[in-house]
Amino acid sequence: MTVVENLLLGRHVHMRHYVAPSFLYFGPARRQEIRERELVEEVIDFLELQAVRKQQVGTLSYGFQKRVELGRALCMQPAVLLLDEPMAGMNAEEKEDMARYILDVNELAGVTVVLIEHDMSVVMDISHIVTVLDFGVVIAQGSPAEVAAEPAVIKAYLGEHV
Amino acid sequence: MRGKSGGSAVSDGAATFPKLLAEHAARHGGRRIALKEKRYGIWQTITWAEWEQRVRRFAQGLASMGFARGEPLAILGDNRPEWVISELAAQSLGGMSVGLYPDGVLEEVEHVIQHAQVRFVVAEDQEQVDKLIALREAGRLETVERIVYYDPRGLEHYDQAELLHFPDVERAGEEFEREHPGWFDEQVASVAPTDIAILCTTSGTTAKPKLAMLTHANLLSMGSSLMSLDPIKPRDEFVSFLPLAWIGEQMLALACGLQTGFAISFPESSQTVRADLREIGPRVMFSPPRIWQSLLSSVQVRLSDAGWVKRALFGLGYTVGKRAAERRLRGRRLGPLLSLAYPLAAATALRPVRNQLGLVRLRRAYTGGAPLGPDVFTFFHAIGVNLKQIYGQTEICGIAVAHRDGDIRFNTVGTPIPGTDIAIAESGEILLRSPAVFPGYYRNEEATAEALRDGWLHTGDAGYLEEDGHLVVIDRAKDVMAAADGTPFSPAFVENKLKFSEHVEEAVVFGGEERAFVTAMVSIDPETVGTWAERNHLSYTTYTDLAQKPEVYDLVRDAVARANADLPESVRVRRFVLLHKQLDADDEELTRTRNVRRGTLNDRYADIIAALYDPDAAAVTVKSVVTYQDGSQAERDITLRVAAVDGRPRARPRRRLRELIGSGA
Repeated sequence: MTVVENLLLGRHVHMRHYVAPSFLYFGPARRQEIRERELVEEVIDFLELQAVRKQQVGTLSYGFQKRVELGRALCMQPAVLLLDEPMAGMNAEEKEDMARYILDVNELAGVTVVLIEHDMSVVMDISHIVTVLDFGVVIAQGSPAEVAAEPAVIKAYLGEHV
Repeated sequence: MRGKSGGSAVSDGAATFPKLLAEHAARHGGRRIALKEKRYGIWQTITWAEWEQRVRRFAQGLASMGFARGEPLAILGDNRPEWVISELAAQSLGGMSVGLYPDGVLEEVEHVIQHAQVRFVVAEDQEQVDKLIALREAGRLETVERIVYYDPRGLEHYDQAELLHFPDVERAGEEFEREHPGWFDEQVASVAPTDIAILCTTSGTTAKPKLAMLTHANLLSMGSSLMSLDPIKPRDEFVSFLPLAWIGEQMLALACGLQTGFAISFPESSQTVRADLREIGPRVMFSPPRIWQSLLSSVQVRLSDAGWVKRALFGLGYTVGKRAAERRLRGRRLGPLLSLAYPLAAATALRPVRNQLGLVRLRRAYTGGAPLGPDVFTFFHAIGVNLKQIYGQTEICGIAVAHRDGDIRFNTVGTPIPGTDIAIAESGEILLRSPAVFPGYYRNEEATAEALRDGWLHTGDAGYLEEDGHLVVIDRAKDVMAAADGTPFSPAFVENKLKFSEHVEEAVVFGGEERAFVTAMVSIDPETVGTWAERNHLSYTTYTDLAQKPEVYDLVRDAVARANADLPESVRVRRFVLLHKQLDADDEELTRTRNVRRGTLNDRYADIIAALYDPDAAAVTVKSVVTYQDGSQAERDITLRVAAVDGRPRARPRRRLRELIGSGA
């Protein structure tokens, strides 16, 4: 599937599907398609996917594929976005881009982002509130600075002096 | 002095950019499209009336904030409608626009803005605004009072008092118009053709860029002279994808565009230019050599990936196209056999390639700014692109000499366009005289006095006129040297020979009287060499690693040997080094228009040059300092091999595409 098709897929939960009008060129199906494509194009603009709009997602680089995934989630217009390790396997540049987009999602689109991540530099850089878990138990919660100073966190994530 | 005149030019004496805009708006109103910008995947259009109205509003908005008559307005951003709206707005108020290259680093931005004493800047987006704010906070841009941005993304939380959103300025302009009806039209009417329209940065291969003042009359006379030669029609399409800070883009998009009234299209982003070119199908195009070279490389790469049927078919068609082009360029008719074969070749091989490149509707194409290799020229003519060399400088609005249709020779730059006189000084320097010659550099009388003497523009280029009036440009006058045995020799000429290899991205050639032989520093093209390495099962990590592979050295050695084959014995490249990095304008190694800056390179790579001339040196260690866009730097040690070139290229097992497109076939 191309990038555009992939993103349109994210709109499916918001679309109405009637069998008969779908066969007609004009009418409600066409209007819906135009409306949805408009929203998808805004996401493309937002994530700077213009150059790959019509390419097959499978042929794109890993960083782009992840970006398309984020785009598809955005197309669903969520109130809260849960991202499970969006930076996994990325190089420094791709990570930086992704961090930028996550910030933009939060600041420009006004979506709350719940980020599960163990890349400390990313977590400390972009989060407002950090919750630290150690084997399923919450051991600290607060701003990045507060959390980083918490002895329990240092113990669990960095180890202790011997 | 030997002189040659190109005849007289026709130009409306009282015209200015804003007046022409007002005329088009009055004549075509909302019926004809003036600007197109691709956004959200669709070409969004702006009619002449809308363009005029937005200029009107923005200009009045500027005026309400205290923009004075004759003041410069700096514009920093990619090509967008707002760029040309801002430019025309400044000009409507009798002011001038100063274009800045959007990829320019802090020092360049600072130099131009400080030098021109700019108070008002239009910046595209957060990236550009950040540059300006960084400079201001460092206390280096005291003159700037207002920064107007038009892409608000990411700028929501900026609270600097000088920041303004473009639509807000337009709204302020509407307000201003209610209070001062008729004021704007008076302003437009009072702009004289002799007022400065733009301050254009010169390419600055030797020093910091100077700002050339160009008047409305300069620009329009150049446009009309060019179009009296090569007419452009109002319905023709034009895609504006090269920086509007460059004189070449100002020349076609505005100086020709406003006289003709053709539509200007702005691509969606710099990555989508190819696709957008294909969608629009421009009729006319002016690009520096690097664009043509990269188009050729993309054809070379795609062909080498194609199946043998396609390759054979293209090979056949290309041979026919090349023969036909050779005859046509000499003004001869095709023979009976070619007349039969050509339409077939055009339909099966040549037109499809042109279509892939987005050049299928192109009527005329120009190259300028630097010499273009004859092989690249041949390629484009063979596939049916009417590519012509032009010669000019920022100081003469970009164009003074051009090839005529049907009279194109690859080693010359053509004959003077109408209205232009040309002469060669005793020293061999090219002198030009025309209505398009600028009145001087902005706030730099010393340089002005040097460039303008006895009514002639001293170009600083060395060249000569052939019997039939064609001008041959050798090089920058100070770059032309003699080889060890006295043969005249121009580094740029040898460099262009080397650059015909799709694997060579940039080359810098050294030589001259005090040097025993000629050597070169070469930077490889990461894409083509990367593809080549992949196909030959050669693994590599970084650009530096790839460049230092012995196999890559062999590859480039062949390219050098092939280039040597066409050169006189004494100017052949004997030794070369593959550089650990690409030459970059951010490192001040290239100008923004991608010409090499020899002075910087001589200093920075003194160790490499010494090793090139030390017969015992097989390698050289260099300290590499990388400057990032934000101005920070990093340093490391790298060892580079030095290779010697002797004899011919190695024989190849199979006839390769390069021979096909290059000298052979």
